[in-house]
Amino acid sequence: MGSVPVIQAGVSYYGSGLGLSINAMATHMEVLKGHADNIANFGIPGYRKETPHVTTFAEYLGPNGVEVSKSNEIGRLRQTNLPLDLALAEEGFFRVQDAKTARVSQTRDGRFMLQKDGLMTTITGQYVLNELGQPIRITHAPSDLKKGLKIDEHGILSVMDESSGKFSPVGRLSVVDEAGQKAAKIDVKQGFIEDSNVMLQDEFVGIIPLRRHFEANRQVFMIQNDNLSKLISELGRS
Amino acid sequence: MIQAIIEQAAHNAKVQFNVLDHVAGNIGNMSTTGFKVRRFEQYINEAGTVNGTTRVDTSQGTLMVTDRPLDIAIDGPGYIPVTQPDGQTAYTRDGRLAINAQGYLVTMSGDIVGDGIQISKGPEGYERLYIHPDGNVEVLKKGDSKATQVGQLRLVTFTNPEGLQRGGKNKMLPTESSGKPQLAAIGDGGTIKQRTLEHANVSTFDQIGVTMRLNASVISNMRIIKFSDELYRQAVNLKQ
Repeated sequence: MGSVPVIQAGVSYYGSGLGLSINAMATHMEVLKGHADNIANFGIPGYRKETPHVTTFAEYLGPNGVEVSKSNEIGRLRQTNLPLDLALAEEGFFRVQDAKTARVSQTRDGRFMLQKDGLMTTITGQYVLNELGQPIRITHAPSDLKKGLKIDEHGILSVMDESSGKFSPVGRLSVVDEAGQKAAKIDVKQGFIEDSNVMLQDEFVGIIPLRRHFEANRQVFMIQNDNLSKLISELGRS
Repeated sequence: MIQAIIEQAAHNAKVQFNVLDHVAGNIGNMSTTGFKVRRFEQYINEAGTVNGTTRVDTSQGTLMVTDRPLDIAIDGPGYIPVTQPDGQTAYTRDGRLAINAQGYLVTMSGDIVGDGIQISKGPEGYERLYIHPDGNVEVLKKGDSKATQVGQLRLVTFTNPEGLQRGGKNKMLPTESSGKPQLAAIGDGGTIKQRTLEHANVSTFDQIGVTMRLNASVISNMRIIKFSDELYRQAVNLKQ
């Protein structure tokens, strides 16, 4: 490493010093991006906030040294009284399948609807899967879903027979944990949706030190820059 | 990166203004008979940006007694089919009916209810009009002792009523996603209540809740823009 040019005035401009300050400023912008993401997704049910962290070695990694940790906190449950709005009051995810690519993914966003062919889908048109991994299809759906469709806390769907008024089960929602296994605790709430767990005030509290760090690094950069230019002009004169 | 943050925040603020549009539409229609509240649902699309879609809450509105014999309300999920002047069929839950010059039962916008239910022929008029819960329309003529049936008001239901398209003048039109209208068995599509109107199912409190959330979101996004802009300026003016 003998080739690293170090100028003997307390200023090094390679790998540390000036570059380090620039790196730190870029890192803080990346952290800001994390907060901006949370704020943008504030209004999305089932969204879980991702807190950005600066990890070790960030002085070498720069913006790549920023990692996010997903919060597992359960968001506020909001009552909507719609029969196909479901919220999970415990840890877990619904399983949904893309209609085109058949890719299965997990979501906590329980805003579902019934298509004309009886298939239960998310608002973006993905199929909601049952315990056996097949799309849930409710044939002979009652004309008034509010009265005729019940989903209990275990995720069992029951449909009312309109002539007799009796409920009969038609399937069970698949609720899984992060690893895709059946969740240990299942608590499905019908007529509720889970708001995102983003707290706007927390995001802005997180931004305050960010601004100071950015300014500090900017100052350090400018001091080093001044020193360097002074040094070069002094050296040049002698 | 800063540009990306600013763009994201500006886009999100724009989406929030779309939500405000819907809130305004819902509040504006608070006294529209049979109006169904629209909800703007936000989701993250494949590109990772916030997007929205409209959903209709088709739940029953509250019923209000009016004591006008030509006011009807549907207590249930059904729709009244009406024949428009151009011959096309539309569907409505607006039960403010009237009788036109030919004696037919029509809606407020002049569309004939069902295939045509003629209440009175000629100028003699009628003494009393009964619309029964099963849709039977009976008229008691002057001088008669017993009411005679003149027609039946049948309701239709849709598999996915959320998919209905708003057709103007409080009417709905079937679409690909709503499915075809099905003639409901009597009692299935709901019962008809005479001298009653169905209020819009808009809840002021819900709408205020939505407004407060969108307001917080817009303010936050604007602050993020301002903050990013400041960082940007400082980064650009590094040598000062």
